[in-house]
Amino acid sequence: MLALRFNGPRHADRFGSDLGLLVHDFFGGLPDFWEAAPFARTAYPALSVWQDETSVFVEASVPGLKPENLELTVVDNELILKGRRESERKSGDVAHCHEIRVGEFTRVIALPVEVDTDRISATLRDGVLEVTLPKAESAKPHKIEVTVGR
Amino acid sequence: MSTDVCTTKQCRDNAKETGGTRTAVFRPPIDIVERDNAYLVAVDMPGIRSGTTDVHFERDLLTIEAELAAAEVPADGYLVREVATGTFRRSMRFEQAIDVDGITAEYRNGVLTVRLPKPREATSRKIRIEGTSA
Repeated sequence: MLALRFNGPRHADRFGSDLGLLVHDFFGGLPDFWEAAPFARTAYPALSVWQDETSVFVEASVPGLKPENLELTVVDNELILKGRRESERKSGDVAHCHEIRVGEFTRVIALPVEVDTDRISATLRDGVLEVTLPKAESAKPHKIEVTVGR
Repeated sequence: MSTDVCTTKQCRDNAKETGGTRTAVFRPPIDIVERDNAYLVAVDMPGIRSGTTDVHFERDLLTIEAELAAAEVPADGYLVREVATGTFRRSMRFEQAIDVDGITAEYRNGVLTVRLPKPREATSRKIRIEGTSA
């Protein structure tokens, strides 16, 4: 079971996902987030994580962000995603509907297996961040041959 | 003419689930901002499957519909699954006059921005006073 670690500094907010996991989410710039979506009890950004035999894959929905607004780090087998979404408002704008959240965000994902940090790749396209984390050799399945004992 | 456009509460009330061949699954966040000469509607739609976007304005209703592509993952391969996929539709009513022919839409960084210009007469104009020393 994948664990999304909870760590509770100030401003931290704890959200349970459908899988009952604890999520480490940490919003800076509180006023913007709460103003924008005071009743939205969902973690930001939305993440999907899956794996196959060779790699772990992470997908994050980050519309409105460019690569320079994002920071990805892997340390101690945790993937840390930090970012900042700027507001598009100009002075004089009258807001009639304000659901899009702006400000800083951080999410931490504890990876299920050890990964080869030198070969991690990440691409951002149309607001979707895709991270591919190749598993370390030792983490890949290895077939073990069984010989008949005497 | 009413000067009210969508307020946040109205955004939710006005969203219509009209019948169609595709079922609306979820509601992506929307910002509506009024500038001097236009309304701007921004919708968070990361990773649209190409060819599935539909934006149309009928009478006073703007409807935005698209399908967000899902990654190809075997059903039991997911460890965490929060990213929204599938089709969605949101509608909003504009009681103010809109120059329908001038509506434009742009998709960038996963955000669809629809620009609805106000008709020319609606923007303020300074009126010159003739024949006085004022």
